Amino acid sequence: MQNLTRRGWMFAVALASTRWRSAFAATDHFVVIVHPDNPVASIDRDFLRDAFLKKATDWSHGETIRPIDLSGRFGVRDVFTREVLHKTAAQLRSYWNQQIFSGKGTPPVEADSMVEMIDYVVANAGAVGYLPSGTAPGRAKVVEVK
Amino acid sequence: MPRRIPFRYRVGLLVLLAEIALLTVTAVSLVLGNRSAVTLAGIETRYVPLIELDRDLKTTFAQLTQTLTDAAAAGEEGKLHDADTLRDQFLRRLRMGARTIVDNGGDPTALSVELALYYGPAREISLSLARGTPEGQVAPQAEAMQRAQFAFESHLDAATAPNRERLAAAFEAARESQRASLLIDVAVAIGALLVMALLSWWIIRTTVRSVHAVTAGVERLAAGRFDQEIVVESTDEIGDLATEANRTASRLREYREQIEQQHWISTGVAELADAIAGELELDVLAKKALSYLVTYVGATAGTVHASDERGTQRLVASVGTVGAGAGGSETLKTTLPHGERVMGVLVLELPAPSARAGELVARVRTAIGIAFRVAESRHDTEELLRTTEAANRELEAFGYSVSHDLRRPLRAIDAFSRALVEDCAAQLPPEGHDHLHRITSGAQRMAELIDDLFALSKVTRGEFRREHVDLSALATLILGELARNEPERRCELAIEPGVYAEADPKLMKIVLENLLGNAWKFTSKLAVAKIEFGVADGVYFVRDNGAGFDMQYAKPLFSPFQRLHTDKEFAGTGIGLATVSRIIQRHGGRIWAEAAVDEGATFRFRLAHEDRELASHPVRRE
Repeated sequence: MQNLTRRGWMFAVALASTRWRSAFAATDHFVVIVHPDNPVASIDRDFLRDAFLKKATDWSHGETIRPIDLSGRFGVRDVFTREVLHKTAAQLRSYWNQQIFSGKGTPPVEADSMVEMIDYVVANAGAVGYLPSGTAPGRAKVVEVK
Repeated sequence: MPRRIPFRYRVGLLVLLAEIALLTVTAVSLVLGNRSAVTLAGIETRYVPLIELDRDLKTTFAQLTQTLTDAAAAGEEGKLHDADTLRDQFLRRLRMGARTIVDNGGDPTALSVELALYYGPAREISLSLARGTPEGQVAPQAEAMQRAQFAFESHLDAATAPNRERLAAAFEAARESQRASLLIDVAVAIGALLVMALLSWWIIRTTVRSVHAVTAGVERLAAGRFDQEIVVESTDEIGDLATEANRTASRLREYREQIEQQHWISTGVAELADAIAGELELDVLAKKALSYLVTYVGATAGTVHASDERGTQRLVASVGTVGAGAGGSETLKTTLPHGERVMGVLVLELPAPSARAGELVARVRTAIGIAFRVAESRHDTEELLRTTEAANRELEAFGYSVSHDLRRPLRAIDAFSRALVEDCAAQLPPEGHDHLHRITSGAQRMAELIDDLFALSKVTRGEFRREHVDLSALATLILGELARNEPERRCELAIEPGVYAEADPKLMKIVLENLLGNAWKFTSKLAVAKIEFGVADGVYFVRDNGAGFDMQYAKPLFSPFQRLHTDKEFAGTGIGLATVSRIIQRHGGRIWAEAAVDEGATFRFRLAHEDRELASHPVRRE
């Protein structure tokens, strides 16, 4: 039962996000945040992608990249996945399945809330995450995506 | 020198050894090659299972992770059973290859534990993902799981990857073994080659040396030197050849010695004959013969005794002192025979026994005996001849004087008888005439007799000279003369043409005059006379069909004054055939007659001794 409910949720989110995405096309619906000590001012979109797919492991200043994703409950995740990672949710899941069982890597941890996201980024030196636009980043540092 | 193996066995041995060497080299090669192969096979049996195990385990593990991935992606929990099956399969294979892993230095138990440590979380993660858990939520477990996986995979690698050091050592051992094989192989091959080369060299050397010895020996034989033996000690075929060649050489040596001895003897005989040739004085002859023999046979001393008819011996020749020779010397003593008689005794003393000297003496003793006899008889003959000649001379003188002295009174008788007839014819009565006529004819006949006797003596003593005489022409001439004197006679003459003889022409005329004259005379009473002259098988003949004679009186026919017919029947002196016989004898021939009363007579004669007939064969020219 629980499973079905979850699926129903996911379906609803998917519908909503599709509509939402079409309504806000070509606009930045998220901001990328990093640890406040992180020296970077802007971040390359491809680097960001590699970081979240764990293809890149270190920042230019040597810190280990620690990406954090938002839970699938948030529509912005789909946007981020599509626009930065150039994947659908299913594609990403499949990608991580492959990575997990082939021993190559593990997916980024997920934050169940904005607060949790911000806390994680602030707590970990090399962390990188994202927030829906308009969300207050707290002590996290917002960097520009080029 | 040891007895040698025959050549063919030597070659056989060489071939056998070559085969053994080849087999040895091959066997060594095989054994060593096998050792290398065993080493390599060891590597294979050790490492191939490991590699297979490595491949199997890794493949199974890859299938396991893929199945877990698929289960998670497809959300099908059932797929996890497949994963379990693969896990079991992995463990089974691990157990099967446990020994291999242990041998490789790995720990299969630890591996299975580590697999469990991995598989449990991995299965959980797959299950939760299959149930829809967001992947981000499994990340911490996934990280732990991946550490376990890494540890497991690392250990699996270590357990199943071939130990490089051991593998390298194994290959090094194999290489070492191969190198050693090669070295031993080459060494054995070189050794075999050396042994073969030594054997070949030995065989060739001994064979070539024997062949050289035989070749040199045969060349010596070809050059006529038989005195040196071929020295080949081997008992092989070449040794046999050498033995044969030596045997031939010794036979040739014997033949040559025999020939040399024969030649020595013949030379001795010939030279002795030369030395004593023409020598008729017995003492000189003996001295010459002895002196020659002593020198030729190398005698130290020698004597010759001659013995006369009564057997009395006297020393006629002597060289050195017989009987003074040192001990061990050889004395040759032999009689010199002539027929039954011993003409003398020859003694030779030699420094050593000599077969050839003995043989030479045996060959010449008869010759010397004959020479002695000839010398002796020559001596007798000369005596006889001297006596005879004197007697002959006296006889001749007597004959001449008789004929000469008788002629004068005969001529007186004849002359005075004629004178009486001429001068006193008127005074003589017819009876007186008759008496005177008888006196005259008696005197004439006496004169003829004297002439014939004179002729006979001359025939015996006169000059003698052989020429080529045409007897046919001579016979024709004589018969023609006779026919002219009595033209009234009818006579058939058969003179074989072309009959020649090597004889004295004057004497042959006398022979034919007498024989043909007789034939003419003894056929005078026949109406048709028949006279033949010819030659057959070297015998001349004169044949007539006249009165003939009784063969029992034929014997004294050729003696003087023997007549078979009276003067009334046929005129004649009885000296003619005696003269003919003498002439024929002087030619060395013989005359004989065949006849029967009233059936004619045939006189046959030869003009040479029958033995010498071939030399002076009468020639018939057609």
